[in-house]
Amino acid sequence: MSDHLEQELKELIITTLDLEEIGSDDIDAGEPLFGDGLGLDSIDALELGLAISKRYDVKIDADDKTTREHFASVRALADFVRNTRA
Amino acid sequence: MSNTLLSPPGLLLDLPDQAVLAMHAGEPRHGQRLRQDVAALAGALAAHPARDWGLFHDHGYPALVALLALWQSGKRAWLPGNNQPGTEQALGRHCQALLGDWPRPTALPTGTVPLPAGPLDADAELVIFTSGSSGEPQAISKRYRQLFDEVAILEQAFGAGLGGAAFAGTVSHQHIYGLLFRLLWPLASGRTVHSETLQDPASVLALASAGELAWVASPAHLKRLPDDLPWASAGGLQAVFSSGGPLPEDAALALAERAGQAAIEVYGSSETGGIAWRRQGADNDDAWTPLPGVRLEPGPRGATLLRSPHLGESQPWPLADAITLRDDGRFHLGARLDRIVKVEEKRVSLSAVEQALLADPAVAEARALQPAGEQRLGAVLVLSAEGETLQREQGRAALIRRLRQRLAANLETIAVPRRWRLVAALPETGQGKVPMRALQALFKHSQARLPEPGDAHWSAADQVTVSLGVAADLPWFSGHFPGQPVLPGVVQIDWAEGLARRYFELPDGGYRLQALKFHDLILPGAELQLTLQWQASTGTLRFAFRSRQGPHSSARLVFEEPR
Repeated sequence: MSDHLEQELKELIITTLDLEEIGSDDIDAGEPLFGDGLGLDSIDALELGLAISKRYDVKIDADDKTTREHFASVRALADFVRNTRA
Repeated sequence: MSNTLLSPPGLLLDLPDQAVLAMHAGEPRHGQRLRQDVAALAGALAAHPARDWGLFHDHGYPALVALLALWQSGKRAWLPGNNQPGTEQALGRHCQALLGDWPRPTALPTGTVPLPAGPLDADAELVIFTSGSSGEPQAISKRYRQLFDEVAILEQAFGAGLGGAAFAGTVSHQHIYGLLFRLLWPLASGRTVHSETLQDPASVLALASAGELAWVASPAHLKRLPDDLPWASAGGLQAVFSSGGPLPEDAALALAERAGQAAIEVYGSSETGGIAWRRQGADNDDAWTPLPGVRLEPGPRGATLLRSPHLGESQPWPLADAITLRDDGRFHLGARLDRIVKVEEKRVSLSAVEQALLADPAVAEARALQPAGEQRLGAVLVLSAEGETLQREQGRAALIRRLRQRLAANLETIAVPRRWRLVAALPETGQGKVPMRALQALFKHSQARLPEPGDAHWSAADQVTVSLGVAADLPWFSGHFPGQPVLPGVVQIDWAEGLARRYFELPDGGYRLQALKFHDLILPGAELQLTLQWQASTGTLRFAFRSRQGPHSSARLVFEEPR
């Protein structure tokens, strides 16, 4: 199943974080973005948060405990963007 | 007017009963409550045999209670930067017990009698760690007296501008900067501590809309502020502190404009304490002013020596940064003198990254560096035979993923290189050195499409020959020309110039092409020898491509004088 928003988010992650070694096909929508999976860190989260709130005009409260869950994977991010925009 | 500080030994005794010392989980913590919390915990700690305790708390107030209780009960506190499994394991060499937010904290005796507050020992000890260094973090011992002296200097330097502001931070109190600025300074000067480590600048500004506030921040946050923060309603913001690394000028100016005040940057380190401060945007000067009591003097081999009240007995201290002293007593800060770089304010040892890379059997040689103008590291690797096989069978992406994962297990995530260059041989000079310029050149974007040269053979100090394989799948072969793929002449010139940058220091500007000759076509699969000769006095680069079949092309590139 290919999801348009997921694909867009993958590309946003790659361009925002300048991940030259990774193509969007290399990112599994379900894999963890932080730690073991893609290996992103808290600074990446900060930049990604800025990019996503700008692109999709959504408000991200970094001190909200649920934010961490939204950033768990590309799929979770896509759900978050969809639900927040709706 | 700055605030009056409590006396160090009497700190706990003198805390005013009714003053709000902290806001924790949405509730005020008064002096009386803090004293009770410390006494109860100190009683339990006193009844436990362990002397050295690893202390970690997500929130500031419980960390403060725990630190004071450890000191009150005559224990030594160890303050790691995080509570990850690797940290816990490393702490195990020093500590017999763990206190706070750990997966398995040490069980404390129950039903013990509270240990009433008494004078604190001026020599009570706290061990901190250098910020996020990869490899082995360095433990640094601080005495209570030393920490308190530093607080006194902060109050002297900055207190007058703060009034009764509460303190909130987007940096952790588990490092020395956050510990001093977020917890100890406000506590000793009768200001309120906001317990939670905030992530979102909007949360900080919300607090500043409700009352006077000092924000303890870092460049990582300040240079990534969203555009739409409600600055106008944050009238209570009295000061923004930034430490951990210099704030880039554009970020400093943008902040000064939006916040209506320039950030106070503090330069220092875990070992030395605070050294100097500056306010870019308020001063029109990016020089640093030494904090009260701090003296800097020229030392041997370009190093600068520091004398400071925070150093205790290890005076004078050679600084790891290149410093240019000015006649007016202020100074400019340059690059590190050692192989430590700062990645988003965290110290990273390039040697440690290289060691971790070399520990993988796929890697034969490794160099780590910070590409010019970037934060994240780059790695230049020569693969071993095993690595070559792996790359052939599983591909470059899989190989790099494997290396990233290996490194992530041993280093902080931030220290894992983000850009990778796999080369057949490290670019060496005739003297066998690998110059930084040549490694840096690999990360310039113009270098992305160069072929990988084999070993370099130097026939003179200014002349080198490298072998190049011309892979059949190069993008230039598709469509150029249909049915008869050849390597375009313009690509040959690009290769010569780009590769020459790895071996010689070429000017950045443009060049004129002279004596260009194309003798023979270069076809897919060709095995080439490229000879490069650089005459610095005339700014002339000569190149010639040859193969077994004879000469292919040659030319002179005459670089323009830099303007």
